[in-house]
Amino acid sequence: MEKVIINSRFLLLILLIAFSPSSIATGVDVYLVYLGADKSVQKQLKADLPGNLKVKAYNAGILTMADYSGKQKAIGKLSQAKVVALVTEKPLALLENHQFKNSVVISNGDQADIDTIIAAVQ
Amino acid sequence: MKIKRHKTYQRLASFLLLAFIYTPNSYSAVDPMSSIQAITKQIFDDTGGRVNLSGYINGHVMNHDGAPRLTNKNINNALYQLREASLFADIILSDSLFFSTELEMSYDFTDKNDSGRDSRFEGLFNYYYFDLDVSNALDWDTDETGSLRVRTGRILVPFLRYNENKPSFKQHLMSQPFTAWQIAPVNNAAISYQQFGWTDTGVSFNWSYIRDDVGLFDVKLSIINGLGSESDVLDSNSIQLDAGMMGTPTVRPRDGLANARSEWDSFNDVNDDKAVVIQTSFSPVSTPLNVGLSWYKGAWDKSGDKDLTMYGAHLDYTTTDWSLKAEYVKADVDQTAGINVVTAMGPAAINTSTGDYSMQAWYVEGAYTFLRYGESNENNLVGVLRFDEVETNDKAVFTPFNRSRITVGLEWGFIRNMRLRAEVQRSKLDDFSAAPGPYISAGGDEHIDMAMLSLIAYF
Repeated sequence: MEKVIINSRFLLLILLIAFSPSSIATGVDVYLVYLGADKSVQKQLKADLPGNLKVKAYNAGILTMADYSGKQKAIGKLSQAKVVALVTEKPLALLENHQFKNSVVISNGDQADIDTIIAAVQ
Repeated sequence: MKIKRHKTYQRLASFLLLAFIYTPNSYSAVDPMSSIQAITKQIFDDTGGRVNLSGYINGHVMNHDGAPRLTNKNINNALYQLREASLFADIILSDSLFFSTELEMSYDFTDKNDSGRDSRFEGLFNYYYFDLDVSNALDWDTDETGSLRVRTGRILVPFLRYNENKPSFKQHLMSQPFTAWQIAPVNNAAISYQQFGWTDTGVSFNWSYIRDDVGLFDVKLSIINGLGSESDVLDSNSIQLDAGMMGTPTVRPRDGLANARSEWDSFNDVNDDKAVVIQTSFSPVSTPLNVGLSWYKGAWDKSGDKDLTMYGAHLDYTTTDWSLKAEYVKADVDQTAGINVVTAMGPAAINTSTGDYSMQAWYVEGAYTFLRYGESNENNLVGVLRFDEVETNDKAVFTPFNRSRITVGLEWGFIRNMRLRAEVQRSKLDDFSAAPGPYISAGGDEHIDMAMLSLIAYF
């Protein structure tokens, strides 16, 4: 009989973690995903979006040095927000061109962009 | 022998040429991995993005010529292996807490007398760790403070660039450079083919800072159990040569640090001293470049008296069509002279330790995509050239791991999510003139050639 060295305790632990009830919701309404050049647009949007929305910002430039797993985790984390607001499409190249179901693309942080994000949240 | 080598290369080249000519262009749109991708996408969607599964499979046939015969294996006969079948799971536990693991499996189709493997199937969890994004949890303005993450568990050791650059389908060659085999132990002993990636138990702090007009600075500080040995010498691996009339002497090949790392499910340290690893990297805004330095220090022996210190440097330059990679690593080992841990009969001059010593290795690899075709230009042909050199010699009379090597490869993305790779290598042993009689009687040659054909599928 061949020796199988997969440890069943590890397998059980990983399955438990993977498929445990989603009790810890991220609770983020909007993730503003941007690159350094668009930092001012991100800050403007964050200041102008309604206070009742939980808004977080993610500088995708950090993925320049991320390992394979790091990119997968970034994609998963952003996917859980109600809306992924991409400040131009440029950050997508660092996110393996993942097609987010809940994404909108914005450009300059004006009122039209704010309206687009609010509409997507609702 | 030269005729045999010539025919191997000729067959490899002919196979590739015929496959390229007779593979219809319409095949480029075929996607055999789509059914697996549909399953992983379903799981991703059903869990709201919490469970992200991905992976790859790599099968290959590998043929060596000029390597010495050992009593338990002969790699000069062809090796057929499902070398890596890896499933990666990245799980979102909260907005700032994540869990990652890799289930790695392999299967050996080769005659066990040739491969030397104990079991045909092997499987293990190569890494498993939690990641906490501290800066996100505390809602820092990362444009001002930078981003801080803490990783703990069985982690990929952040040393040089190659180790964390898993999975290997992201590379252009399947064979690993000497820096990642003999010195930084990314790759295990050549025939075992398990635990791709140097992993260890510990904690790692990662701070990254983006300065808009300059670039990305990244620093990783890790505290891990570290490399070690229960033996009185660090590179304690021994082999038994099949030298025919000259017997079967046991020798210490001095193959570097490949055997100094711990098993994937071991949390034990050989001593009470933890090892410290620091890696710093920089990527400028203006150039697609990543340069960095790495440093490792830790006691390797049971009493914690003898240190292993490693210094490394890496460079990655990647454009749409070109890429250039290079690494250099040096390891300083504290070791007592005059110890012979080989109890079986063997040449004492080869087996006896010679005191403190240094090992080093480097490589430079260039790749160029010279053809793109098919839907969205996603099919391609990439040519690769790598030169590397290693010295694991602690000034013993002879070791086969004082050698240089040239690798020529061709990577063909022939259908979606699948690649065919062909590579040929020629190693030259630097001090072959000092090789003892049994090494030569076992078939050891001044040049060791290798040809490999790999098929990689990923999802």
